[in-house]
Amino acid sequence: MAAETGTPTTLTLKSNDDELFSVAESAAILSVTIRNMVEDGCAGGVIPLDNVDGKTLASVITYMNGISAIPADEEKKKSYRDKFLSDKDFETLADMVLAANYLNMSCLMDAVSAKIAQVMEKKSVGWVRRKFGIENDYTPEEEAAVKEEHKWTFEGVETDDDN
Amino acid sequence: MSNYFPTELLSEILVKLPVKTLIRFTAVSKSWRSIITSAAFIASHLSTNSKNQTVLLTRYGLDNKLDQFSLLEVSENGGFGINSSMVLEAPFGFQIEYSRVVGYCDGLVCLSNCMFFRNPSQRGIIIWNPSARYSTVLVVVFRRRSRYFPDTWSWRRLIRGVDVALRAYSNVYRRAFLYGVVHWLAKEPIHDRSSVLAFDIGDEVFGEVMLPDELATGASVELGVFVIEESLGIVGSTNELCDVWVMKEYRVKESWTKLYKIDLAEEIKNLVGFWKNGEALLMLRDLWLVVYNPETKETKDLGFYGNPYSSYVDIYVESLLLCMVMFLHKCFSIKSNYGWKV
Repeated sequence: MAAETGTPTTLTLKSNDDELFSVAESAAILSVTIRNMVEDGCAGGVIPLDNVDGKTLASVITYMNGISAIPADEEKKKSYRDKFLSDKDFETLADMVLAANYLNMSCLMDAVSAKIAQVMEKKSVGWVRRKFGIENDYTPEEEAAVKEEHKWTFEGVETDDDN
Repeated sequence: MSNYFPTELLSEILVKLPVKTLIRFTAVSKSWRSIITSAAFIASHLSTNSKNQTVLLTRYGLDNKLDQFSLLEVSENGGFGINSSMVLEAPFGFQIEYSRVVGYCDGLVCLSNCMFFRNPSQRGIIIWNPSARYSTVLVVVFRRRSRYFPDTWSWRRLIRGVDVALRAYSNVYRRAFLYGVVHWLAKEPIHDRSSVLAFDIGDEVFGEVMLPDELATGASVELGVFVIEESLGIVGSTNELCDVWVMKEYRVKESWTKLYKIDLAEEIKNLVGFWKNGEALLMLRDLWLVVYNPETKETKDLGFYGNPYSSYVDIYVESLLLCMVMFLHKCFSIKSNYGWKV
């Protein structure tokens, strides 16, 4: 590939809302999905990523560039990931975990799912239902019974801040 | 954003949550409850969290003569949060003066009621999940061949054609559980040699793990058996020194390696166990529970005090095991109240 000429190869990625992004191949192949496309020779033109929107893809590319610029030092990579995710809200994290799953990027996937778990830890049942879009299929009696049985697990739950 | 999380992805997130949160989230919906209580999820939660060790502390309350259990919380920097312990109700369901942690594995603790043998109508052996606050009584069937009691317990096997009996030390509660095998310190009386008696739970076979010569024949060395960073470990102590050994390759005698020396030998009341990165948890004469860092040779006070003779500490990993049983049991009791279909 381009390694012989010394010029880094650039790939063009297209989000599902038709935004185009240029990214160095060396960074983009952190995604196993993209790496497979490159290895199969399908990366000549534009790579369409049908499950990722532009906003999320921009964020993922920032991560790809950031993490691939760090030499093999797990400590530094970890602190980059922590910093990268520190200011992201739940919705952004949810989009990123879906994107990481689709792009098959295990390191991002692990870090984002751990961050989501950290955000969820002290949240209420109602918060979880709203954020994950889950329909409550318990009857009010059943729900009251489940909550009563495990009352102690409801101690120390944060007050919902999402309205 | 998309609200749709495939179950597989949702499980990836949920396995990273602590047990208390997961039990709370079974109230989110029936499908969340079935994910969280499924055998596959419980297994994957255990393997994801097997390195998140905490400490189960048992203290004998001098005021009310009851055992008190607490799980120590670990703060973000890996140390224990002072005064962060969670006090648990003793799971026997009645007042009991002497219970004993028989063993612990994968988040479950086996407790025995020491009065049970005098009064078998009481609950004798309980399997308890302290992080889920759930326990179940183990049905004990007495059979002659399972009379393994400390003073009569011995094991016979042939070594080079000579029938040798290895006798476990009288305090059989000091044991190390590793690779599905329970290890106790033992003595071979004819040559006055120390060794490790091993019982493979799966195969129900006894065996022997040889000690390094220095420890096997060191007459005045007091030995303790431990799990140190997923290896079998032995601590040999005298009044002056306290050496920590690990068996790098299981059952290869030559692989015993002296890991480090604890420089506080004369101060140590009791070596409790080993923590992350091989750090030792110690009870000292004037401080109660400290963690000893072998590299800096410094101790860190964990802020827990008590009588070292009536307090026990076990290194513990929280898990969801028994939760399937717990939910079945609880659903049945709910069913009788609310007419649920289970």
